[in-house]
Amino acid sequence: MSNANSAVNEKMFSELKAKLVEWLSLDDVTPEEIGTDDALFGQGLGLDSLDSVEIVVMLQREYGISSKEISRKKEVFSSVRTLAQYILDNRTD
Amino acid sequence: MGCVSAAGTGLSASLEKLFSSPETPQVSRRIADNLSLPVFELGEIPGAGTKQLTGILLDMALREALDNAKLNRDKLSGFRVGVCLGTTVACQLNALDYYRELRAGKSPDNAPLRAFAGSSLAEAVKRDLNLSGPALSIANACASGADAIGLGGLFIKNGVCDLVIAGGADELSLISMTGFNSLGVCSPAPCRPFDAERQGLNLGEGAGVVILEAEEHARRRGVKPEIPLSGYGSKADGYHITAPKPDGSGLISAIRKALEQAELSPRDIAFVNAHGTGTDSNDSSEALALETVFGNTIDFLSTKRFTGHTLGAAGAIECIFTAQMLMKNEISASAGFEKQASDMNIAPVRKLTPVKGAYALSTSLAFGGCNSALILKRI
Amino acid sequence: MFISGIGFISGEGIGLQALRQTCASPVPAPEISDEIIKSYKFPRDLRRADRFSRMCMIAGNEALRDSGMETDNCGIIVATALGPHETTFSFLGDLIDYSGTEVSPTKFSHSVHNAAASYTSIFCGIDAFSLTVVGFDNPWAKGLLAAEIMLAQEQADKVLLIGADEKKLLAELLGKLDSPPGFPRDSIECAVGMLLSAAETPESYCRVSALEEKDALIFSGKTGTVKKLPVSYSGNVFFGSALDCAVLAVQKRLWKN
Repeated sequence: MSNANSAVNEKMFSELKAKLVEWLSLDDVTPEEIGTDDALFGQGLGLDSLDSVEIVVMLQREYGISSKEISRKKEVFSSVRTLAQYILDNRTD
Repeated sequence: MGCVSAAGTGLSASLEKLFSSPETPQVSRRIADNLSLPVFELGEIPGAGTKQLTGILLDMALREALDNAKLNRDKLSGFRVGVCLGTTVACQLNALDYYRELRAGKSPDNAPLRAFAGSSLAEAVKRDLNLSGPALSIANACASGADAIGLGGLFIKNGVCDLVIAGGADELSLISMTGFNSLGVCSPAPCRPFDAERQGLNLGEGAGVVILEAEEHARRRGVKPEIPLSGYGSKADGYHITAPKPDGSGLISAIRKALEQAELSPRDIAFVNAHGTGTDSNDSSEALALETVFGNTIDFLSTKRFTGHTLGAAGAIECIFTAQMLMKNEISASAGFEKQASDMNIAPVRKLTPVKGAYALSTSLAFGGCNSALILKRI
Repeated sequence: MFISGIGFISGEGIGLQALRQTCASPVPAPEISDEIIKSYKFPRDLRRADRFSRMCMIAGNEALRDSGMETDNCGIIVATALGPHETTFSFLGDLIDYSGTEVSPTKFSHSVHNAAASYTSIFCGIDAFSLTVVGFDNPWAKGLLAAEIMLAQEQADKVLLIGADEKKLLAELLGKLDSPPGFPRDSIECAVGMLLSAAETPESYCRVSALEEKDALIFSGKTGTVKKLPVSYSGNVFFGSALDCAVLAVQKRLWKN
């Protein structure tokens, strides 16, 4: 069961990295270069407040997750891993 | 001066409202946004549908301002008159249905396109009143109205014009409602500028027009000038496309520029009519800027709980409100405010406060980092 | 005030060479290609800038480089008729294709006319005022007037003035209208940047004024007092006048030498 989970997670990690690069116009980095546990905001990928609200719209359009439902936003958005887990737990698409 | 907003149609209705309780913003009846955003929407407007609402609101404010200045089309004809108006919505072709049909490969009736081609606010006023001076529209987002008045004042100071029709206008639109909502800055409740529990802004609509005139020119016309525009300062943050600089340094520079132009020091300012939208970032950086320039005893307020954020009109409407409060010699409690926020060292006025001095400051901040300050004087 | 630096971007490329090429070519490239836009590198925090903002940043930065001046006490004015209309339509597209809660905040914040001035002020380090001047009737002349007044009133001692308009769907639709007249039909897409200084510098091309006649290139919208170009090009974009202004300034310098 843990193997199946980890395969699902890995797939979501790559998918999410690709989507972040596309949605946020990160033209100087490839999806492969984004570490799953790197900080998304502040350090690491260095995203800003505008990226944050763009991600909210991405979650809505790509995965059907409404912005009103996102609590603990800082924790959810802290890395690809935490964001991917949130999507897997809450997607409605 | 002339204005229209959710606070009222015309100066006296607005002033009366500013010293009583604000209305509660409601979900729009005119625009189907599916967002349930509370907004300060104006009711039935005479002439609505004949042309773009922004232009109609502008006409209302303009007529009142001209009347008060004892001017009309004929009387203006001998003078060098400029027009300087701010707006955000009116600069764009926002005709959704028209665009939908175009995209689908159809050939829709191009009435919206033709209307847009004639819609440049300042140029339309110049045409309608048959004026000969320069006509510019300023699209500086939420600081447009203030910059239009500031720049208009400089046209007079520089001797380019005898009179300038200056101000701003904006109507509620689906574009601004969905756009601001997507940025996460709209409040689900009535806005609470500078309050600890503030959750964002409410959009509004309206127009504000001032007739700027060289003092000597007014006297020769036999008209008493009402409120001198003493100083104007405008500074760019150069920081971020949406977030204001957290240390407030852009606004601090703009205020200092205005003070320098007016040859005043901070303690000459009796009160500040702040931008105060009710968003986290605006209010905290603005409060820091005010504290840095004026110290922690400055009287300040925001009037956006009465009007909502009227975008391109805001700087103009608020300049007018500032002038009216100066003339009345008192300022109302800052509506929507109850509790001092932990991220601020100062708080707006909580009760009716006398004006202790001859000068007042009106500030406006815009997305993209435009900061503007206007200083007015009571004669 | 003085024109102390000129920047330019068109379908023929970037810089003064492209300006000369645009005037010399019998049929100059009508649009700026994606390749030309992408050839200019921007720092990462400006990566979201749309095409219109990039045109303005390029023209502005090139004008600065040409002038060799620093941007201390420098303001910025962007003069445009239609602003970022491609992005505005793209945002309308979002509204049509998705619901009101699914529109892109990045697109929205770039669809406002003053986004380009904001980007350029970040890129070029502008620390004085920022104005975006809009109109259909010769916005370049309006921008020049605003610059002259702001300098005369000491709101700054330099202004980076940029005139730009995209030639995308809205421009083409307006060009097909029979009335009002004056919307350009055969037009080229370009952006012109000028570093205007209150004081003359060794790099200054010439004096310019939107108001006075003596010894200056006048720009109230008519072609200046200098000899008209012997080239026939349909440079009649809203910025035909900005283009004229730049070309005449270059001519003035050539004749000075």
